[in-house]
Amino acid sequence: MATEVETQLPDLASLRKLRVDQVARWLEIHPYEVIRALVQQEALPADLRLETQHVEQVRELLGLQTWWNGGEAPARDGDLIAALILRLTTRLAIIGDPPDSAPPRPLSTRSDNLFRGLDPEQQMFLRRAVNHLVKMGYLDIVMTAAGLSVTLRPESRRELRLLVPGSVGIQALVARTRSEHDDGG
Amino acid sequence: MSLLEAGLGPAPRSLVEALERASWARGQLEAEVDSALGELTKEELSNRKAIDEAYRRIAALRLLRQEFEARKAGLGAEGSRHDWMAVRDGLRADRERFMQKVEEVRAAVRVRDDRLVEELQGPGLAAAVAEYERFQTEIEPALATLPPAYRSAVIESQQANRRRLAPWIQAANAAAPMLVGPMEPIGVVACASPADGRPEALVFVLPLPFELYRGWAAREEDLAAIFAYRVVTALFRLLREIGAEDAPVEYFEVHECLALQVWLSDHSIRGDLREQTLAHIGRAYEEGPELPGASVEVYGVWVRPELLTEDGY
Repeated sequence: MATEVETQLPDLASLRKLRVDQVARWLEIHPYEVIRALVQQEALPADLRLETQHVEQVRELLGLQTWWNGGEAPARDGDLIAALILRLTTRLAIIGDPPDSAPPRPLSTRSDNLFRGLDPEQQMFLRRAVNHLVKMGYLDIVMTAAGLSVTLRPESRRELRLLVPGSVGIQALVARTRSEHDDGG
Repeated sequence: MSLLEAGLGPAPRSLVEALERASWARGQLEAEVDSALGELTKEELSNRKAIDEAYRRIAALRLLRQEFEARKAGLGAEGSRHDWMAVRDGLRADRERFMQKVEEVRAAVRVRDDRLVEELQGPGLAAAVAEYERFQTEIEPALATLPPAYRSAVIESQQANRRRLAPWIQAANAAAPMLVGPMEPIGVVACASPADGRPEALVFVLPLPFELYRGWAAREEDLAAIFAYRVVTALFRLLREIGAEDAPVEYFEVHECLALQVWLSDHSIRGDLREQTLAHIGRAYEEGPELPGASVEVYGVWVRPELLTEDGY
């Protein structure tokens, strides 16, 4: 075993501190967002080389969440959209609803949290589905300093809960999203 | 001569003579006045002609003035056009020269890294590196689960390994090797819009390709990326300083270069935006060794906003 290790070329990466782009890849955000977060906390090292604690600092400050852990995203389009809607309705509160959990659910989240952890193809498909949900008036997307932020519209309280796997609403949403997705529109 | 004076002289011998003399005197006076009136009329006509001529000349001068003013206005627009082209061409030229430096630095780093890898293939060193890596990826995340005595032994072993590898760790984390050659001036352009009054937007343009922003995930972090990080750092520090920390920032392309735009209309800006911008760009350059090490000298240039528009107007 030792001989096998000896024959491999040493990897300099293991000796190096973290680069900004490495941290950005881990967090699935743009490197300039990493810079912005660390400048806000006055925690950006002068040599731009980072440590693991910077990753957590950035994650916390920017409110980054991973909504999809490896392998848990359904393969079928309708199930994927329904799973996203379930996440939205269980992780976000609606304005006017009384707190039903401790700590209370937030009213909004970064839009990229909705897709973090998915493969690029699924991300693109769900982005289009979210655009349809916005057009249908269920979601609001607003620009903030940290990027796009998603909230549930009060009118969505009942309708979103009806969009379960196999429902007519989901099938229609899948058809519209898939059509646009396949067209590349 | 008045009629009274005309009638003076020796006393008339009769009424007839008196009336004749008075009539003659009136005739004389009328002739004199008619002559004077004739002269005045001539003078008036002459002056009127002169005035008409003066008016004609004034009108001609006015036309000439309009012609020259139009030419002057044309010269101003032409000058602005030249400034716009100078900024555009200057940014592109700086971008080309900087990207050349990026390639030179990349080559120098490759040579250094090859040398480090070669050294690390020495007796026992490759195994030490592999062990160092294994600690980071496999052991460290599980440290808390190890029995305390074993944990201490593992940490001690890792520290010893780290001490042994210290020269190579330091070298691998060092800035890129310095390039030899004259310093190349590279400009970062900035402006506020509108140029006067309360700024609604602040723009930075870097002499770097926009692809650096859009395609960052497919690129290797290099001197160009580091340069962009430095300027982005300058921008965000500036925003903190002027009280616009939460202002939204957009990234787009200006003159085929990467541009950063901040919307400031919702913020009351503290301080002198121009002076603070240039100071932060200067600080960004001085903070790291990589830009001076690549024989690059970065300076900020404050311009009018129309010089960064698509068509210069």
